[in-house]
Amino acid sequence: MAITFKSVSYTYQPNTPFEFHALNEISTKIEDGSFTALIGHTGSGKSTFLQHLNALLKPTSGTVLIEDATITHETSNKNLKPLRKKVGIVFQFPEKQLFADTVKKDIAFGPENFGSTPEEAGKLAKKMIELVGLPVSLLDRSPFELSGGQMRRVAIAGVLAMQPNVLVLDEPTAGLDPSGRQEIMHLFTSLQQSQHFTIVLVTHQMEDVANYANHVIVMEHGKIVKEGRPREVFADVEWLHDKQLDVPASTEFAFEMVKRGFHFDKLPLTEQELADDIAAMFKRRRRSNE
Amino acid sequence: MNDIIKVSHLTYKYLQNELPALDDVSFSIPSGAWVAIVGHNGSGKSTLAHSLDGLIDFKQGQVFIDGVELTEANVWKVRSKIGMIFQNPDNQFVGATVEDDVAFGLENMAVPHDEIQARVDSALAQVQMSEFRHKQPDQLSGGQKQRVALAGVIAMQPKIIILDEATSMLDPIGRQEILGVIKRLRRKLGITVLSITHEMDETTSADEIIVLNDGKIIESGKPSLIYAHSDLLLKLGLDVPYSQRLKEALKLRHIQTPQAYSDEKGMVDWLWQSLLKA
Amino acid sequence: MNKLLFGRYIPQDSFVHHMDPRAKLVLSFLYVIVIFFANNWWIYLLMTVVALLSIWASKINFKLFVDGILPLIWIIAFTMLIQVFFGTGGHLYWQWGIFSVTSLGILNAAYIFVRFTLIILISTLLTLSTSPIQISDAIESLLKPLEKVHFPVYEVALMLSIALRFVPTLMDETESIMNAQRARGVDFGTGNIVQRIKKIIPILIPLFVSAFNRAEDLATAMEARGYQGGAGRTKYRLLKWGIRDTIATLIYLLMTVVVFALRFF
Repeated sequence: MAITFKSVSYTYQPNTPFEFHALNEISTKIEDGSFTALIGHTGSGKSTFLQHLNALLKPTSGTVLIEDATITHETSNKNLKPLRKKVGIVFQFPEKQLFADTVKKDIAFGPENFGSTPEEAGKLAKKMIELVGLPVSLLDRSPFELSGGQMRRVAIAGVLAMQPNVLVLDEPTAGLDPSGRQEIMHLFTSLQQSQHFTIVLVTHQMEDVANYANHVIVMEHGKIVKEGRPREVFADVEWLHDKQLDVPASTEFAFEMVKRGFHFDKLPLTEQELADDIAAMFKRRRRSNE
Repeated sequence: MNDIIKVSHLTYKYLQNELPALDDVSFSIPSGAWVAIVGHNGSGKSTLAHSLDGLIDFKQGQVFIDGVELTEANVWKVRSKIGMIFQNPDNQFVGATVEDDVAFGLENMAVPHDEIQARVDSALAQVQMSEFRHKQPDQLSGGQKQRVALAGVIAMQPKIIILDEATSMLDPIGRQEILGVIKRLRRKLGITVLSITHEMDETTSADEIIVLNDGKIIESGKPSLIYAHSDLLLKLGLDVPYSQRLKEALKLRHIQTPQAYSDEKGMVDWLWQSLLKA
Repeated sequence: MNKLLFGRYIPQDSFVHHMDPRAKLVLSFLYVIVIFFANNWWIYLLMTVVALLSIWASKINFKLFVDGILPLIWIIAFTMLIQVFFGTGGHLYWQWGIFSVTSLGILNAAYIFVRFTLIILISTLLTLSTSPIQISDAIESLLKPLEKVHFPVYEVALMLSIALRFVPTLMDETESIMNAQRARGVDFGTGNIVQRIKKIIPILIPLFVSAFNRAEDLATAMEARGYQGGAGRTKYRLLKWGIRDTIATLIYLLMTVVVFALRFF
């Protein structure tokens, strides 16, 4: 399912002393089945952008197309609810949204809001808790008794239970330790393969961008300042440094090598690519020595 | 008597848990050092930090801070030697504005008004937040709030700063800001730093790393020693520094790499030596 | 992003902003009390002039004051209607059962309108020109004498200031929780009263959980920074009575005297 932005602008508290232009003439397209990474600093407009993906916010001007539904300033709020089933958002620190007295009820909350019967929703809850890798025995426990990592998975299950087509992830690994991060990212990529999700990921982890994304959007001051495949975006290391944005560690390492006189046809994005390139260099050196 | 922190046989168990959060932990930290305690979430590292400041009432073991044993009677004396920065930037911001927050600890210590003024000024200058002194917390970024927390701590002139996952809720810029300030403070004031973290790349400037797992010290030593044990780090759910990961990937491709750990710069040097040097 | 505009502090470099918050608090109270003694247009004229003069001295855009009145316009209108239809005395224009419209009733309604508007203006001026922490400092200082009867003035002031400090944090939190639940299909604007109340639960519970966690963290952080209760603490913020406060006090006292003169003589 594709989402298209056509010169979308958004202003908070217009015509007050606190007026703030969060988005400025944004135009882009999230392709069906793509894995889009959204990068930029805090305050660059990323969260405002996200809230347009499922019409939590309506553009102040411009148009958002969610599949074939057109959202403008004038769209009535009544027509927005079905869109929210199609686009699920896992917000930052999603465990903060848990409220029900059992894990099961919390996961079933979304589906029930969209008209599932309690039985259907209960079944979904069971399916989803397995999908996020937690034991079914947790279903009858209170979500507030669980560990932080488990709570996060329950919250993610609650979003997955709406069976959306697009999954929006706002720094889903924030605050987790390295193994927790890896497990969560694994979960999402395997879900994408098995369920054919379109994924939009907001992250500061450039490794994740290099490893998983096929489309990168760089935002700054409410504008898209660069967009393309990861290799294109990360090719300009100096430009990103200039914006105080990180590049993947392998790209950074290769960039340091280039400064010392090494040559790469294209800068590597991952450890495996870089190791391959270096291995090839060793081979060439050996051959020329012989 | 050079050890500013000395912990011996510290054991602590939370009521609701079966296993102890800290299990017979002993170590000591020399004055002026930077020691990083690493471990995955739930390894007991935060419990350890809280015990050192008397925020957890442990029954077994002893803690000495700057020669003073931590007991119920002198907990306030011990606390005056330690400044702690916690994880959540919002939940440790007590004052209504930046300057009020920095002054909070000094007011508690009953420092006279004029001196508070001077100390607040200099603390804010050290963390480069002077121009924000009248701002309210909701007008600051997470990194800025943590810098204010740091200012609040250094205004109290402690001998030790404990960073209890102080960067884990920050974005990369915020993290760099905090680490930059810590490095500068250490150079300037020679303060002892104990940082609790699960981010290995924040431990590179440490003098020593202590690896904690299930409440026990698994290993401790210089960063280069710890980093070289990538299999152990992975097993404990921790990250392996990038240069070490690259080295492993090269080994898999049958390339002879140096035995000892080296950082990124060292690796580039080695590659240059073996590939480009005539 | 919080959308509450009414009563939000607007920093400025002005006469009013630099005043001692105690003076502002006390003079605002005085103004509100005095206005209840107003019984003729001369008094209202005088008090309107004083209010406008005070607003002018704050350099705050007058539009913000209008925004402060608008949300309360229905309450004012309602009170005026009651006066118009139930007021008695003077010339009788119209009567139906218990309802009557009289010249005095209309006059009283007009008085009420002006009185309400002036009270809102002056209290808006206080909140727009004085930060919450200053107000809490002022209250603490004014309540100081109660310490003699063992009233925990310091603790109450600290509670007040922490509560005020966390208002924006919790407002942001409420908004992000609401967004998360809206994204899970909750439609806050619809349904009957029971349904609407039910929809608040998924906001309230996470908000409480988070507020408790914050409170626990904050208590730990305060303890780590040496907080052992109010006794023996020094104060960073000192309130200073300045020439501005004396001038303002004299103006308001003069106003009070004139009002009483106009009323009783």
